[in-house]
Amino acid sequence: MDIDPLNQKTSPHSRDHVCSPILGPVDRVSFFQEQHRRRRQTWRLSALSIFAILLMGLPLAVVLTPLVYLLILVFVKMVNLLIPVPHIIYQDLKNSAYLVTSTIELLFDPATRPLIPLVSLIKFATVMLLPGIIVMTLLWLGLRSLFMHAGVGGILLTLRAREPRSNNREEHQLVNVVEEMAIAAGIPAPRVMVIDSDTPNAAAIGSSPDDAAVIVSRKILDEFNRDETQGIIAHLIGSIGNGDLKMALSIIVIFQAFGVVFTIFDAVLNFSRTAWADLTKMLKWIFAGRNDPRAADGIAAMLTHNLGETRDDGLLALLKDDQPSSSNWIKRALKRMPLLQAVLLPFMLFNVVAMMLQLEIFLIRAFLVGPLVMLLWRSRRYLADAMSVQLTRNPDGLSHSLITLVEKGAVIPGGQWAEHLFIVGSEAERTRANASIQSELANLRQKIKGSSGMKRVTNILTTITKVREGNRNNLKAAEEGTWSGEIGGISSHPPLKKRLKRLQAMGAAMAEEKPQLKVKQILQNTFAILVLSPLILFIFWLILCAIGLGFGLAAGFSVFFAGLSMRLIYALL
Amino acid sequence: MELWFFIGAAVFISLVVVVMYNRLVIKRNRFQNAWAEIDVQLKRRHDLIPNLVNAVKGYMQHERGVIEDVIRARTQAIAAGNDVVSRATTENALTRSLRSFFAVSEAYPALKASENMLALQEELSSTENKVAFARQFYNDSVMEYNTARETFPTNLFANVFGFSKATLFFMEDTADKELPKADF
Repeated sequence: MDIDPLNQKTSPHSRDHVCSPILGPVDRVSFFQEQHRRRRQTWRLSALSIFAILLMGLPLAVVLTPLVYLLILVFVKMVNLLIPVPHIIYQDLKNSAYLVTSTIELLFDPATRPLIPLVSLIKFATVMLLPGIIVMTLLWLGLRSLFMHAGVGGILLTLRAREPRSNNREEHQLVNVVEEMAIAAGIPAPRVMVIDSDTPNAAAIGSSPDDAAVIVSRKILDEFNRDETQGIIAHLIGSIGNGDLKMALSIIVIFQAFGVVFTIFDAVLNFSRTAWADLTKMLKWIFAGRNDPRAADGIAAMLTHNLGETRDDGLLALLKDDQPSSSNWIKRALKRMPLLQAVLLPFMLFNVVAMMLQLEIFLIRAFLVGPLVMLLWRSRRYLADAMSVQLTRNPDGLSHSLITLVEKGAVIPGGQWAEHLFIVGSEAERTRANASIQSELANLRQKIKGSSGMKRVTNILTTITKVREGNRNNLKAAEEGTWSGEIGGISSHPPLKKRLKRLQAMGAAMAEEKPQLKVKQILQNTFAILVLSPLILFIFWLILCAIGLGFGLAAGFSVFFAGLSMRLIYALL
Repeated sequence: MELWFFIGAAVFISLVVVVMYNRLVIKRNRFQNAWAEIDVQLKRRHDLIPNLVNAVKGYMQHERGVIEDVIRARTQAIAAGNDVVSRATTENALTRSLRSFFAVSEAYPALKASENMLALQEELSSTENKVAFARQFYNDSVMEYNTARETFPTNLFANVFGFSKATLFFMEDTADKELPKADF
């Protein structure tokens, strides 16, 4: 149904390509079935991610509670100076503080642990967790609306995106394609921007379907024909229409909320100057600098980075004497008044707790939350592929363009922060690296056919190491600063081979190739799996123990800290 | 105790009914909007044709028949009004005349090379695509609405609330269904 009188480019369908098509029979599915499957997968992964994020945040919530209590106490006392506060409020606060301290005492004594009634345990959990959870949720909502209103200006400027020229035929055609796809999807047409870049790639950015923009690299216009461009645009518009932009924003903001909390801890309770600088930067942005389009991205990057950072100019750094950059004013004050150490001791204790929390958050993020969020994002990519087939009714367009993008696509330099929003990310680079290893090994096999045993093995190993070293810099450049680099351990895009397989299941035609897997190779793989599986299981067990230990330590420390502080507050009341 | 149970059940059922009703309303509005969108694209096509005729007047002076076909089909399409069947017939006639017009224009290389004509061709083909995609979106929305209306819990209430089945956009066009005669 697509008329394209200007379609003069041939498809790469019959060329030799890096990513070989999938062999064997593939069960044909309709794109509706595929979409249904991916939506259910999204629900499952979302539930798991939320559970993992709660796991990550609970110890932090426990630590936040006494601080919230302290703030409420101070606020109530200040209000009391103006208007006499009814005694009931004091009584309520006192009761909750007493409940917390008494339950903790009972919990820590193994004799009384089973005797605690369930109701009081539930009350205890509520008092301990609820203020922290409420604070974190409010912070999350606030940051989310801030970043949503910040708009997309920053990244457009960084990538030097421009409006499409109306006199250029290709760019005008691009605008038409975007409008067509928007009609097919039933959403308002997003803004179209073009980047004059050598790497073919395209992204959808924004915070909602009303505010979205589609960025396309000029290389795509030069090399891809109308069908392939349409497939790519349909993928992007499908993902916009499905609300992927909001989902990405919500997920990123969770980590930024954590970052804010840790920055405040570092500034107020660790006396770190760099943390104060960060805080002032953020406050300036919130109240004064929202017109600067690049500021939002800078703040976002800073907050995510602060999540794992241990400051070297805070209180705890004083414990390591070899830090020349540690806070000199604290050192000088301590030298003058050694008694100050006694006053600063509770702050030091708190900072130890904060370090435990950072460790726990790192462990759970690296092994649990990160991979889950990446898997969640991957399911949205599959869903967007299926939407592309629905919108264009032509799976070949997208599959041809993906085959070309394997060979040439990469993250556009400067766009790493939004890498997850591009149609291919750093996994293209990785596929090319693996393919080059395979081809080098194939060449090697010819050369070393005669040589025996040890020499053969050393040849293979040196080749692999050489190729890996050569590719390492490319891979590093591709992954640095990306969402998958900061948050998740695995890449945010599904492997291109799997995407092609799903497209083939939806009807894309793939060139047939003679089977490459020989029986010997299959047996070798099975043998390797059998031998390695105890090792793999052992590694999983270690990881689980690390997560459990981290969580347990953090939870223990935070409950201990909360109990101590509540006791103090109870004494103050 | 039992009173609370009944109240709870009643509240739950009414919530479920509210959710179902809202779902149906959203889907119905979506496909009605999609129908209006088809209209918009068809009108846009009507508006582009005079430009097309002006662009080719100088080059295709011997092909008056084809050009006049296009103009006539356009006038009829504009005059068709809101009746679905006559709209469909006249719009199909316009599509056919445009197709033969483009087929004939292939034989005029000077016309093909002119920037004006290329831009116009792109606009017209894009408009044809937009009409097609608008119909596709309409059909997809109608399918979603009908499925939502006919699946189990919702179908008990749909007729009560006045949600009737929507028709898909398909064109009973005998001329399109005829196989093209291959004459070698």
